[in-house]
This record gives sequence, structure tokens and C-alpha cells, in this order.
Amino acid sequence: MRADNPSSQAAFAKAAAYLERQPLVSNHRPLSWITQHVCQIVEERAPKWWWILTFLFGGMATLVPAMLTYLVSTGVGVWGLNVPVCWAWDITNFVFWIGIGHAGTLISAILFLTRQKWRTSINRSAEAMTIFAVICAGIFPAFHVGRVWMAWFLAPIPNANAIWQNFRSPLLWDVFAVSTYFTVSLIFWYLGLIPDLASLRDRATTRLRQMAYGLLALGWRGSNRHWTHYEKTYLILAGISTPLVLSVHSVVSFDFATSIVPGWHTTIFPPYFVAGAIFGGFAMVLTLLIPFREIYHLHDLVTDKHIDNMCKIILLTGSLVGYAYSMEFFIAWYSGNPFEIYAFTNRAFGPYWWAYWAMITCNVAAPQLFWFKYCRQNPWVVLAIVMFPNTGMWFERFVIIVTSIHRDFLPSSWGYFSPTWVDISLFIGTIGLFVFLFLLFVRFLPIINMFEVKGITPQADPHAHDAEENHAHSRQTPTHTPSQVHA
Amino acid sequence: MSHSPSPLPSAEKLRLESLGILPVLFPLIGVIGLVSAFVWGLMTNPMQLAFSYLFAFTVGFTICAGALFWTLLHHALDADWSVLMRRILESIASCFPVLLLLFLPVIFLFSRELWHWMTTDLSEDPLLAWKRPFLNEPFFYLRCGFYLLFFSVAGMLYRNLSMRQDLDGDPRITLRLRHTAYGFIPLFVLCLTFAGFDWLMSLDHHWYSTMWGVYLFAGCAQSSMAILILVTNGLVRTGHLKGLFTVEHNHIMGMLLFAFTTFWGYISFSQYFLQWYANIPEETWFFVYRNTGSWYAYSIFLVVGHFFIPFILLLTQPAKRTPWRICATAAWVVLMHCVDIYWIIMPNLQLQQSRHAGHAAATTGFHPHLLDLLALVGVLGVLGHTVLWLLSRGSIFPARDPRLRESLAVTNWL
Repeated sequence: MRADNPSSQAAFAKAAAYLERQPLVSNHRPLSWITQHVCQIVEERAPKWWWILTFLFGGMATLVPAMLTYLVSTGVGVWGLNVPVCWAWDITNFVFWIGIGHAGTLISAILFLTRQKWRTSINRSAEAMTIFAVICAGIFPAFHVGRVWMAWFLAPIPNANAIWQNFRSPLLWDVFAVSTYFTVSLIFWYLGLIPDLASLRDRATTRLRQMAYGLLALGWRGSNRHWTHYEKTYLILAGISTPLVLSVHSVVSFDFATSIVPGWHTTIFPPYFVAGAIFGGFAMVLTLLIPFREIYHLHDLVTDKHIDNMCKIILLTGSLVGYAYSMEFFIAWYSGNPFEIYAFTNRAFGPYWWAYWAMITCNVAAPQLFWFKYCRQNPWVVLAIVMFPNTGMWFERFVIIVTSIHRDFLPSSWGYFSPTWVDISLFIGTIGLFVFLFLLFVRFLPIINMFEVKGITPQADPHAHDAEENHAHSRQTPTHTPSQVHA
Repeated sequence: MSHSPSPLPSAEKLRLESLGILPVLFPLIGVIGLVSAFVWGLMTNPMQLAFSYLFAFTVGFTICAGALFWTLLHHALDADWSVLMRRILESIASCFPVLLLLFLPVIFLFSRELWHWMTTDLSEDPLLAWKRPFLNEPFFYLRCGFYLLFFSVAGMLYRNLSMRQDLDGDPRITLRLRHTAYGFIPLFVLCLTFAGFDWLMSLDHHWYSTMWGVYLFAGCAQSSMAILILVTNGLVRTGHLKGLFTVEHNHIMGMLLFAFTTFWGYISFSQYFLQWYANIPEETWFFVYRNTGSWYAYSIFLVVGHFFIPFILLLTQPAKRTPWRICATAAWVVLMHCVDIYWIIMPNLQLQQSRHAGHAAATTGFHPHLLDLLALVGVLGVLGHTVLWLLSRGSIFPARDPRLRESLAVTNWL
């Protein structure tokens, strides 16, 4: 195939150049630059925009306690729920936020176990996002129980009333699945923060800062023993977290799929929900990361390659979700069950047709734009496109939940759900809470995992000196283990 | 990542003489197995032969489909670690033309024995009447042809272009294969899903599960990874890939085998669990048939053998890095894949037999037949011979692949 003419040789060389691996840290940044650049986000005075945004979203977040107070003092009836639609925005929002919380642990655990080095510069912020999303999620089912002060009955604690949980209910498994996921994600995130907290402590210029980061760093000294323990624990936690990532949304899908409601009961639900959660989670990671990458000039750490990879994951998971939609539709027809067939035609052409087609457009059609390189390489185009999955994944849950139950088997039990102002305000409140918590995180904790990024730089490669022969501009001393890379 | 600029290894031929009796054994058992199965089966029990043969064909088909999946995935993800083993995957995935031939008896001899819907009177079965636009013979054969043609073209394309790259190391071939993979993966997914619906799910045409395609895929990916482990280690054991294949490759293949063992467990559990919990009659029959008589013990064995045993065997690092341990586990996984396919297909034989005897459809229990073994040995012998023949046609690894150097230097540490 190799032709002798010059144009063919040029194409040959172009293809070879195209196959060159992109470095994960651009511009040959030295290790000290990484520390300085990430730490100064936390160390410099809070910029004006940060105060404005924090007040704005913090203000929005106050809707959460306000609406919840109103709800508890008046009753769950302030939401638009009524027979036959007894699950609507509350459970939609719960599943929406839980789904967003999937990307973080996927990046930190599954991509760690599969040795995906590009995860290092995005895992910290994605994990933080996971935790904030799960906090937002937990609010809805906790208050949906009605008497929230009785919510502790969900825990299997022997009590005077001899009330014991129904362990056969997927709703109870949800309690365990979500709380376990939250706990493990939090520990995982905090564990990964410790070496970087120690860096902040060591760089602290005020006593208060030194004390605060010193306490959080748990006496980290970066000794060989510390690193050995750290890396073992991290690997074990990654192993524990991996099944958790899959289990949480599988259990959430069981809430629906174990029932016999047409439109809810289908066997593909567990992997379909997990794919959808990763899809929505990555969209949210990009939504948050792209603006902060611009503001803090993190282009050398969160490179175009990182964004490109995440776009591809969105394209893949969006297509998997599309596969699940089509399987549901095909099998509903193939089953020959009139109720199944009705549930799906009603979904697409019934009163909620707009929600269904919004879901298809946002989740299946829009991500297909990521087939085009141009769309993956321009961060602002990416940001515009990921707004579709962000919206579409909310619609997906709304479509599944509301359209399946708004027309019961008897036409006398048909209804149409409309949200009340309390439904809407509470959801807006959780968006405020989510962004507010993320802004606090950006301000007080290093948003990039510094020591892990250093571990994947060319300088950290034991064979770096081999490279020096080829790349004269490599100025760093070779280092051998992540422990020694810790600046 | 930078590497010391050592020279790339030169192409390596398969030395058939080092493989002992295998090059003779495969065609021998292939011919003996198939001929004896057909002669004996057609004379004594054509229906048993039909199901035994479909079982054997499906085992071969799923392993080859899995190999095609790994080849496409390798290119789509621009992977590096798997370059060294890719020619083996390509050779297994190039067996589809043979599978196309092996499928002809299914169409011309067995289809009406196998698929009850082909012989059912529509007036007796309104559900089938509803499904007629999909479940009718012309459309069914058309689809079968499409799947097998697509798999054949895809498998051969990937092997041929990869072989051509051995000559000049043209990086444009890598790019071309990568871009083709993006288009082929969705087609692969649809073909595999609907092949699963047509050949297996419609054996009992009242039953349905949206998970079916994913379930079949899990088995394909897992069993083909096990086969890859066995073939690669077999080649290393016979003196091939010397100095190229390292313990790290075994470790990665072991991790993927572990991952897909868990994935199979997850998918099969979800499918079973959701139908058991909802307890809707038209769905639960599938499992009721497979929990009747000794099928019950067989089903339990499937759960333990297909998931728990390999899960435990693969959990630790030494289990993946010690050649004999990972090979033993991989062999077990292949066996369990056969057990799984048998469990899917064979209860339907008893349903057909009871229908033909004029009784209500029912299963009796696990009754293996010698024809099952003969057909399986025959199909696997033919496929094994094809793979060896394809492997002997060129280098056993892509010697001029631009990512070969990375594949040789792969490690499992961040």
C-alpha cells in the first residue's frame, strides 16, 4: 500500500503523526507548576465573580429549607401528586440527581482499575460533584415519606412499636444502596484528598489555614509507609466502589422494574439505568468543568484530549440508552401484550408526547453530534451540546415515571400530572444547592488531583531519561514512584 | 509514555510442527463428529439432532462473535495492550464464512424442527398471529443471511487489512480500521441482538425479555476472552511469542475475564430476578421450564459454575498472573459457556417433543444425549482447524502495527 509518490508518502507521514499519543499534561509543565497553579486557586483572594455566584446560588439553595418547611408544616399534598400519579417530580428529581452522582465514582474507581491515566485530572471534581448530587437526591425520598421525623424507621433498628422493615421491597434496598454509595464515595474522595491537603498545609501562610488543612491532612508526611498504605487502601476502595456504581442505579431501576406496571416492568432496566446515569453524570462533569477550566486557565491539565474522551463516553452511553429505548419498544410490540403496547404508544403519542420526544431528541439525537470532531474539540460547542443530556436525562425519568402511571388500567383512573409551584421551587432549590456546594469546593479544596496528575507526567516515568535523548526539552529529574513525585 | 528505542520484533510464523497432534486432531474430530452426528441423528432422532446441532452452532457462533467484538473494540478505543494478541482474535472472528456454511443445515434440514412458530396454526395462537410480520419464514431467513454476511465481511475485512499492514506498516490502515469500527459496532450490536431473538428467544415464541441481547452479548465477550487466553498461552507454551508476551498481558486478559464474569452474573441475575419478582405468567414460564425436574439442579449449577466459581478463582492477582491458573479458569469458563447455551436451547427440545406427542408443552429434566457431544466436537473441530489454518497464513501477531511497541511494553501500574 505504501506508494512511492510524494503525495502518498505525505499521507503516510500524516497518518503516523495522527497516531502519536497526546500528552496528558500539555506544554511540558514541570511538577512545581502543577502545584502552584492548582493551589493558587485556593490560596488567592476570592474573586468577585465567586462572591456573586455564591450568593446567587446560595440564595437559590435557601428554597430547599423554605419549601421543605412548608411541605412538612402543611403536608405532602403541596406537591402535585394525586391518584393515579403518586410518583412524579419528587422521584424524577431523586433519580435525576442519583444518576448525576454516577460519573464521579465511575471515573475514580472503574477508570482507575482499567488504568485509564486520563482520569487523574478530572476525578477530584467529578467525585465532589457525585457527593453533592447524592445529597440533593436524598432530600426527595426522605420527604416523600410524609412524616419525615419517622424516616429513621427505614433503618433496621429494633424499636418499641415492633415495626420491622419489609426487606422484600426495593424501596428499602434503595435506602441501603444510596447510603452505602454516599458513604463509600465520601471516604474515597476524602482519602484521595489527603496528600493534596498536606500540600496546602505545607504551603499555608496563615496560622488558621495551616491548622485547618493540617487537621484535615491527618498528619500526612508523604513517607514511604504512608504511600504504601494509601495505595493499598485506594485500590481496595476502588474495588469496593466498582460494584457500588453498578448496584446503586440497578437498585433504583428495581423500584420500577420489580412492579408489574406496563412501561416499568422490563428486564433491561438495570444496565439501561446505569448507562443513562453515566451518560447524565459525564454531561454534568463537562458542564461544570468547562467553565472552570476557562476561568482558572487549566487547559494544560484538563486538555482537549480529556474533553474529547468524555464526549466519546457521552456518545457511547447516549447510544446505549437509545438501544435500550428501542429494545423496550420492540419487545413491547413483540410481546403482543395490549397493555405493554398501549403504554409505549401512549408514551410517544399520548398526552405526554412532548416529554417523550424531548427525551429522544436530547438523549439519542443530540449526542450524535459528537461523531464530528469539530463538535468534540470546541469547548463551547461541547458545553452547548451537553445541555441536551442534562435536560434529557431529567425528561427520561419523568417519562418513565409519569407516563407509565398516569393512565391506570381503568379509564376512570386516568389523570394528568401538573407540578405545583412547590415542586418547581424545590427542584430549583436543589440546583442552587448543588452549584453552591460546588462553588465552596472550588474555593476551599484543590479541584485537580495534583499528586496523581504528577504521577502521569513524562517526568514521573522511570524511563524518562530514555526520552531525554529524544526530547531535549525535558528538563525534569526522573522520579520513580508517585510518593517521590509529591512536591 | 516514552520507551527505549529497541528494534521491533520481526514477523513470526505459526510452527505447526510444535503444536503436536492438534493440526491433525481438529479436522479429524471435526469431520468424524459432524458426519457421525448427521448420519446417526438423521437415521434415529432428527429432532434431537436439530437441537444438538443448534447448540453446537450457537457455541461456535457466540465465541466468534465475541472475538469480533474484541477486535472492533480494540480499534474503536485505540487500545495498545491487545495488539500482540489481535491476530488471534482476528483469526477467530474470520471463521464466520465457515459458520455461514455450518448454518445451511439449520435452514434446510432443521428449521421446522427447531422453531415451533414455523409450524403453528395461526388460528390456534393469536399471539403468534400478532407477531407474524416479524416471525415469518422469508423474513427470518433474510435476517439470518444478513447477520452472517455482515459478520463474515466484518471479520474478514479486519483480518485482511491487518495482514496487509504486516507488509508495509502503513499507519493509514490503522486509522481506516478505527473509523470502520465506529460504524460496525452499532451494526454488530443490532445483528447480535436480533440473532439472539431469532435463533434462541423465538424457540419459545411466547417468551420475551428486553435483556436478551445483553445477556447473549455477556456470554460472547466472556467466552471469547477465555478462548483468547487459552490460545495465547498455548502458543507461548509451544515456543511462540518468545520475549514478547509477558505476564502483564495475562493479567489484563484475566481482569477482562473477571469483569465479564461479573457482568454476566449481573445481567443474568437481573433478568432472572425481575421476572421472578414480578411473577407474570407469560415471562416466568421460561424459568419454570428450567426449574423442572433435574433442570433445577442444572440451573443451580449454572449459577455457581458460570459466576461464583470463576469469580472467586479470578479475584486475586496471582490467579491472573500465573499461566496455569488463568488457563484452568479460562477452560472452566468455556465449559460453563457451553453449559449456558445448552441451558438456553435444550429445554425447548423437550417442549417440542411433548407437543409432538400431543401433550401440553413441558420439560422433564436434564437428559444429555451423545449427539450433543458429537455435534459440539464436530463444530469446534471445524472451527479450530479454520483458526489454525488462518493463523498459519501469516504472522501470528501484527508485526508492523504502529502500536505494537506500546503493546510489548504494557504494564499494569499507573
